Amino acid sequence: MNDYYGYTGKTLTVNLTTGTWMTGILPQELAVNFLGGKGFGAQILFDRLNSGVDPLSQENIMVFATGPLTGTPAPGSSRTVMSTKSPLTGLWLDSNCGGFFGPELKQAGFDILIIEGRAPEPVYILIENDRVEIRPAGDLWGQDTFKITEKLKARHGSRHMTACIGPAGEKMAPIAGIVSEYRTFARGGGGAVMGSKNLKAIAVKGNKDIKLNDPDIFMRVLKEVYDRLRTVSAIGGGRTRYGTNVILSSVNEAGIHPVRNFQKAVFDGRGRINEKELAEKYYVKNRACFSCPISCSKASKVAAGKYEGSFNEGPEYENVWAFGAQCGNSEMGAIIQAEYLCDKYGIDSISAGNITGFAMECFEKGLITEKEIGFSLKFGDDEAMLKFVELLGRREGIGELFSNGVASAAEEIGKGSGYFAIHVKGMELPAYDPRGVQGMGLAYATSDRGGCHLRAFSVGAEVLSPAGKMDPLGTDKKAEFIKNNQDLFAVIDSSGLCLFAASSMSLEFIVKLMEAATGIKDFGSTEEVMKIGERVYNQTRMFNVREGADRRLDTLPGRLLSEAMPDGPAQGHVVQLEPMLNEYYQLRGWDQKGIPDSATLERLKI
Amino acid sequence: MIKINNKSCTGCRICEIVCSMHHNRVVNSGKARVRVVTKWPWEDTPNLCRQCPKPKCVGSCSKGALTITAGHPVLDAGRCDKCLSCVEACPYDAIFTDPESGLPIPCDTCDGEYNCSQWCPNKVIEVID
Amino acid sequence: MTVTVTVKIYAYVSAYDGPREISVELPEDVAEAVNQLLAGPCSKLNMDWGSVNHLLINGRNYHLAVAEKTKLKDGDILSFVSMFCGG
Repeated sequence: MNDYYGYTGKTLTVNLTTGTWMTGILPQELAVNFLGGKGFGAQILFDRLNSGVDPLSQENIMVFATGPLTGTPAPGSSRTVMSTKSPLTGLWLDSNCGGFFGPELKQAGFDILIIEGRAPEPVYILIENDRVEIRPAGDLWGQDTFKITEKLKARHGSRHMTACIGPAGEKMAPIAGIVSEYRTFARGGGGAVMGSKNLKAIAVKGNKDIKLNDPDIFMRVLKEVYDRLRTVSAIGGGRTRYGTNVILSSVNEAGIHPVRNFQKAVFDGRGRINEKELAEKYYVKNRACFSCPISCSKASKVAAGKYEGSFNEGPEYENVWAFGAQCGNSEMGAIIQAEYLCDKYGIDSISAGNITGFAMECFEKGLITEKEIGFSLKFGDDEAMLKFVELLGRREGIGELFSNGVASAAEEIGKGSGYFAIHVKGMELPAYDPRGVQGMGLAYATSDRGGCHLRAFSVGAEVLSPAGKMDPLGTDKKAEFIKNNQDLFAVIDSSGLCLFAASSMSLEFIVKLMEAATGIKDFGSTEEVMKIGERVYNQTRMFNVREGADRRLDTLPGRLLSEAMPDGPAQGHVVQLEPMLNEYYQLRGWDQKGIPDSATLERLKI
Repeated sequence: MIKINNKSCTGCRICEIVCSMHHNRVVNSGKARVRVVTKWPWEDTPNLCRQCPKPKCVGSCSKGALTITAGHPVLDAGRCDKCLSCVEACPYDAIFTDPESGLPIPCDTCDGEYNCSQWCPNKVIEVID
Repeated sequence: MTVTVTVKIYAYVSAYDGPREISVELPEDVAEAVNQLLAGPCSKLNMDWGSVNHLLINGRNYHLAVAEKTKLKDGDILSFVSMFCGG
């Protein structure tokens, strides 16, 4: 008898080595103490993996976890988190995806799907309510994600939701992601882990009830939330019209849009690459994830010019940066085509763009040659950029080395390239230069999965600080902000909600929805829920500590610590990490080596 | 009468969600009386009862289980033998079946409230009179 | 003493249909300049400007510019920018 609401109360574990599967009951303590999504992954991975596991071995596990709000009528309730040990960083990874996979998994009756072992031959998993099958995927292996998605829908049903890897994942590229219904579990190499298990895809369909504890209260709160959404212009208005590129010009204006591998942060190609141009010339449609009124996603098509005919869902802000300013490219069509290639081959576009820019700098400095690459690879050469992205996606030629990530590539190349390999803990940095927004330097350095902007995001708060309370170029108040933001985002990543929807709702409403959905009283308290966030963030920290990570890895690339920003509003600045980091550890209750002290662990009960 | 402005449909499925919430107090796309159909790569359209002036569904029912009230079909579950001829007959494939009971579930307009239309963020389902 | 500056209004105010880039003469003093802007050429923006949190002066937050007693000069850029939320 299942007493769960919001949750389904059931888990599914598939063992690919033995070709068997079994269901389980969601433990109450897990739900109450770790909430869902990222939290579930954190607890399960810490519990079940020993330190030192090879991420591409059959010992590694993948935990796909929904949150209590996934699949409910809450806005942006599309999200699922895949947690595993990363082949890119050798550390904790949680990778988040919207779309429709999570809600469908929940409708099939499962909160969590765990994948263990390794199949002897390529397989895919089919889940249809209570029926689970491990099916041969020999005829699917080698094909790109668009083809696979189409094939699985044609074979099983157009409403079956899929998650699959492309050739990059099959070849275990550490930058391979898992593509699901035009969205991706992108960062950190989840696709490679899936490929190492010979798992090509997962297809799921369900038609069971997702029950709420108090539907009347839930819908009443929901109406309030929707009314708020309609009136907030930047979230409802700007993001709907421009997608995540609503910030494009603004970021450039603030001088934090990294150019040519973080050599500067004001892009001169802005005249042709801006959100207005995108919206007017390239966007053809808005698309949304499950239950989302914001529809930040855009479908884009190149109607004329060099790349006429290219189309893809996107490009998001990060992609416009990755294949725009990061590569010195102002040809918009090439950006759309590059993103298409990343989706097709199944690689993380933030890493891919960052890596391409890094390779371009290596080429221009003579550290890699035209002979080794197969072509000239200068900044601003859009055709070379696309050729290089293909090599990354196919893991061929020099793409084999570079698809291991900039950290590995720099180690191999040597000659001081590590200085401008822009990553933290092995994960490539995204589209905000921390020299112009100091708190992001701390955010990147202390992100649990490496160089990521979505563990804590202080850009808006710093650059547009109400009443000028925070100075983006100063270190004051940053540690507190980043710490609280990490805890808050851990909550959101455990709840099943999308960050955009969540940030337009405020935690006050999120907890009301969570309590109405689950009936769990503590979920209705912002303090209690933030405690869970803090617990989750410390749990992932302990995962990393157990792997040997400490303060030495909480750092930034040489360029960002010692090369002064050459121009723009942040001219003359480097990241002043030490003072922020010292304060951060104190606030966290970690020692000065960055390790959670016993009092903190006891308080959080981990 | 309803009009479907499918060019604005983003595929969010909020229509399905509020439909099953209204009728069943759960989220279950299998119980929704409106379904979003997606044609690759990105054409989304909600599909629901068009309230045909000469409804083929009613005509197809040999048990008289379907009648029309306020322009839309109403099912008398007691008379229904789940032959699903109405589902076959609908020219829009807009009559779905409940996954638990097996009964056909045509759109009942939420008694004129049209929740799908009310909640749709993009005014795709338009109620015209 | 007045200076000629460029005022840019970026994407976020989607309902705004006025010009997105204007050249305008304003006083040197930042606070005065902004008051004049909001009362005059930018009054169409029609939002609650009490806190003026979305304005960058050459990429620097308006409030910080006021605190630093920044003086506007010819060619400066004032931009009304969008919120930076999420990713």
